[in-house]
Amino acid sequence: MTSLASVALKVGANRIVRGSRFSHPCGQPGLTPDAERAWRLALVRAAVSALRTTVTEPTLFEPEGSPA
Amino acid sequence: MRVVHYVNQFFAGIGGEDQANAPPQARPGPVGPGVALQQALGVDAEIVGTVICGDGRFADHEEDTAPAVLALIESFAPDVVVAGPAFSAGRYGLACGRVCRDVERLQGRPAVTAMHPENAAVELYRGDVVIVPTAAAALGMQDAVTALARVTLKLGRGEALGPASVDGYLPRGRRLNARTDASASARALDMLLTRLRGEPFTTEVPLPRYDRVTPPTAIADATRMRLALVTEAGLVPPGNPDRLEWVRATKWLKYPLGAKRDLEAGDYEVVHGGYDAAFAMQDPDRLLPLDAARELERLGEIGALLDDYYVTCGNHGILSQMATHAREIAIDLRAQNVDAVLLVAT
Repeated sequence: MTSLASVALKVGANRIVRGSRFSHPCGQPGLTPDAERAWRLALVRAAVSALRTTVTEPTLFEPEGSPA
Repeated sequence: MRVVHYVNQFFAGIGGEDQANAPPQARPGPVGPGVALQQALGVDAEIVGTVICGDGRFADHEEDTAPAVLALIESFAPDVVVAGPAFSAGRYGLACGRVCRDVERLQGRPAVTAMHPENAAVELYRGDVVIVPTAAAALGMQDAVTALARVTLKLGRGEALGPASVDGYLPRGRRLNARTDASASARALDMLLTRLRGEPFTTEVPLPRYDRVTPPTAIADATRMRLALVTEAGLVPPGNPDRLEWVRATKWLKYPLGAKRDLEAGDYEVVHGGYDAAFAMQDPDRLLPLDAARELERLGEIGALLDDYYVTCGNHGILSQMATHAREIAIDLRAQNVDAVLLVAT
């Protein structure tokens, strides 16, 4: 889980979930606390979903609501 | 100059796979490929002894066998030790790498081996051991011993090796200081112009090569999965009790999460010179998403979270050091039957 997805792809991490920002990959300080918690739950759900997905090469998973 | 040569049972003429269990033993003078090596070394160096061990013996009992081999080598009081060439033989290559590494580390004597660049031992030992590249098979023996002899003589005279490309060994990933006539900017522009002309050039800063890891199979049933949280974000208890380094970390740590459902501000600090930790300090779940993982655990969407989280600091991480951390953490996780890892990278 990282905001620097291009680096993760380049070094060959196989299942990559895009996080928010490099200083807080699992946080969005601009949201209200409730909205941030809900987004983080979706982010970790996306990671679980990535773990359940068969991949053959470094693959980026884009969770909903993560800043690109 | 006194040279000791290490060879396996096959090259010593003891036998093939049926003799792979041959125990460590020593003979005076050169044996097998040592005869050609002696010719290539010339009159300035003498192979005073040959130490032999079966490849199977070394591979299956490495921790007992390596010291025995080392003691035999030491009994000849060498100035320099040569192992191999092992060509593409995997177990032989691993034995040669281990022997050379131990001779240098434990006996303080220079050592050199030779093998094919794709021998599995190269990845393991290239950082520590001088390895002369050879062909894949023993047909390349003459070239191999010629190249080996050149490096052997230099090491035996106590001379420092030059760059790998000049002295003919596989790069160890070390940077050597050297004097040049032109400044870095002039050299960079020369290189750029050379490249634009489509001519070959040699970089002064080779980029690291990254391993390709075959993707692990997907988790079949996440509701039974044991998940571990790992991060390089430098998230540690207050006061950094184990003194994790904020840059070029030499260690990894694990800390209990206990019954925590949420990481509280004030319970953690960040030891990491690579990012501004202000937002993470307000709520450490922004680095390690414990609240969300616990919620999925409660909802039954994942099986269980491991009680400990693992942490190092990735700031200016040295690739080989980080790879070591990763291997050690993976071993620790496997011992606890962890099925999957969520690794947060800043």
